[in-house]
Amino acid sequence: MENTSENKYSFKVVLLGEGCVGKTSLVLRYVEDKFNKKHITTLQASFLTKKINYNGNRIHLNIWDTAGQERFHALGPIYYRSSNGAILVYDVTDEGSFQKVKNWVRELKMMLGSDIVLAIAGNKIDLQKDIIVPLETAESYAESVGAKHFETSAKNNIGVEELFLELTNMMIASHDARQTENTDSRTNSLRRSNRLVVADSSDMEERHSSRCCGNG
Amino acid sequence: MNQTFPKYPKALGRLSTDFNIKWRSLFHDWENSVIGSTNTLSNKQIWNKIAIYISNSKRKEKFKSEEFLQENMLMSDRRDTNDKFDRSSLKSNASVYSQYSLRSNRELHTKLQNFNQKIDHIKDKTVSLQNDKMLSQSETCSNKEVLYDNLKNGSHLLDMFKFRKDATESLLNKFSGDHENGLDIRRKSSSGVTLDYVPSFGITQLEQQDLISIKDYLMEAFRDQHHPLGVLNSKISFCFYTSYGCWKVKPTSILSSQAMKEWEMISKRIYFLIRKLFPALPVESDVCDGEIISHQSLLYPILLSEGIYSTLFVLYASKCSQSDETYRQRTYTCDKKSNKDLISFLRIESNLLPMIRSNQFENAILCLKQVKEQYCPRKMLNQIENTFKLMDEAKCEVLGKSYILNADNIMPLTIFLIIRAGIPHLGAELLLLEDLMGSDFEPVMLGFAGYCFATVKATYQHILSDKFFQD
Repeated sequence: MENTSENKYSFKVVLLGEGCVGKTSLVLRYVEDKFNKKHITTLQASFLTKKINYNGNRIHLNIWDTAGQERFHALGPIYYRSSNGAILVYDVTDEGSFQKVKNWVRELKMMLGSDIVLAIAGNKIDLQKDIIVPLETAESYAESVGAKHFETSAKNNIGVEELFLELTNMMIASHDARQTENTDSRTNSLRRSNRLVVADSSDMEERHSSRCCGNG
Repeated sequence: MNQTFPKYPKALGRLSTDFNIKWRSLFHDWENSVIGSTNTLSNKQIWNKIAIYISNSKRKEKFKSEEFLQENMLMSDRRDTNDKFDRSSLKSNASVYSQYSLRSNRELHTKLQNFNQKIDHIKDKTVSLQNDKMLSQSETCSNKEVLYDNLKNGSHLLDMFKFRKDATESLLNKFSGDHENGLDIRRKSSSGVTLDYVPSFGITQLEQQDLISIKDYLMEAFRDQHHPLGVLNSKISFCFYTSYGCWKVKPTSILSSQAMKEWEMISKRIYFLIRKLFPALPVESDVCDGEIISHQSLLYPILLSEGIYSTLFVLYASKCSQSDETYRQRTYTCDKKSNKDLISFLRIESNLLPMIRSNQFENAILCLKQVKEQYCPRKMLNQIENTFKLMDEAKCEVLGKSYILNADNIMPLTIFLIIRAGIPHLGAELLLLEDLMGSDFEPVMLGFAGYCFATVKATYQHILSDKFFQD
């Protein structure tokens, strides 16, 4: 969200999905340099960062993994709050995990609306024989909610790079669109906040209330 | 029967005072007393005014202490306090002295003569202190007083004589306007005297070094009771405490948001004043070498004293009291379980047990415990971040680098940490931390610190939820 120069982005991406669908291996596959696998710079597999250069843009991705266990489902909002993109992972051999993705999509749409870019990843396509969720169903569903669908295999490194690149692309587009949309209001608010320090106005109240959160 | 009765009348918030108006007079008074009513002073003029203010305030202090000393002489039973004063002045002089002694040995000799004459004066007791207008002279006076006192006491004058003379020498040197020397001292010693200089940093440009110097300067200034900023700080602390502290009955939690807004406004106002002193600081916030500079990051470590934090904390604790009580009870019950029982209760993978038993994991718990001792939001975040780093070190030590702790493991492990750390009022701590970070919160939340914070917060919420005891 913090943009210091024109083509420097910093995005937060959150990974959602049921346990055992391969969220962690997906992101590890992407972030770890496949040429020197020993060199693990990351602290934990649950929070990973990746810097990429794409179309002349310098992008810093902060990837947040979330716990997949059902009992932690309610904690989602804390993690996906103010994220720019979400990757919803399901297991192509598990119908239930696809239903979970639908739940997540509904929740994200309700909580964040169009502020968040969605990508749906059907993982484990290397298990050709056991595929239960048909590609067409998944793709038509993704289209209906305005998300992009990808087939991936973390094990065989299929479609992983593509998934993250495409998501980044979408996030840039969405970010730029919002930027131009807000240009007018943004300059207004900047001018106002400058004044607010000098004069005695009660504008601060507005700004404060916009930053609301669950109070535990 | 189903009627609900609100805890507070609906009109309650509407009658509250606008906090800008409430604090305006305090700031205006302060500004009048320091800068005067003119608003268009240049940066140099403002610094001059501040220097004048400091010297005035010190002179007043001198007169006061002089009266005090005279009183002391009359009442011999108060001599021990006198001795204390003596020693402290000796200490501060010594530190200044050590840096000067080598440099200005020759000048010292010439000034020694002057000093001897002055000592004679003291002996004759003919010097009128009130006539001293120059600061350097008044500083000399302080030494004279002490000397005089020693004469009276008839104690080891001769030993101290040489010492004092040198100190006086150094002070004279300093006030002669040797700017660089002043800076030199400032860097090395930490006594309050050293604020008597006009900073050369942060005026036109803002480099990393400037930022450090500004922070050091402000740290001193806000603590020094002779410096206008120090005066402002103590005034604000007092007013804030009387507004929101000193509860005779149970604190009213609805005041928490008002208090927080007020505090933020105060900090912004002070930042605005400081920007007059150091114009190179960004107007709102900026990123300098990957570090966010804003009123929060610059002022909170200095201004958020224990007093103000605890005033706010009491309000927040009362706001979160219900959930914090549930949290306390649940963690208390779980804390009684042995490691093994707790692991199976939290469904942590059993191969993580040796890691939990390791020393490093113990350190992580200790680190998390210390969160409650911090009152600067940044430091609290650092503490939380370090906890996670320590946990990862514990993993590397016991299970090896190739073992991967993913989010599925981290969540239950964090619950384990929280239960063992047993931070009281965790909900209030987290909420206050979040609110204090203010506008800095979002950018910080993107990084690893943000992830750790989110995990702790999620853990807290999980402990409160019904699912905590369910399968």
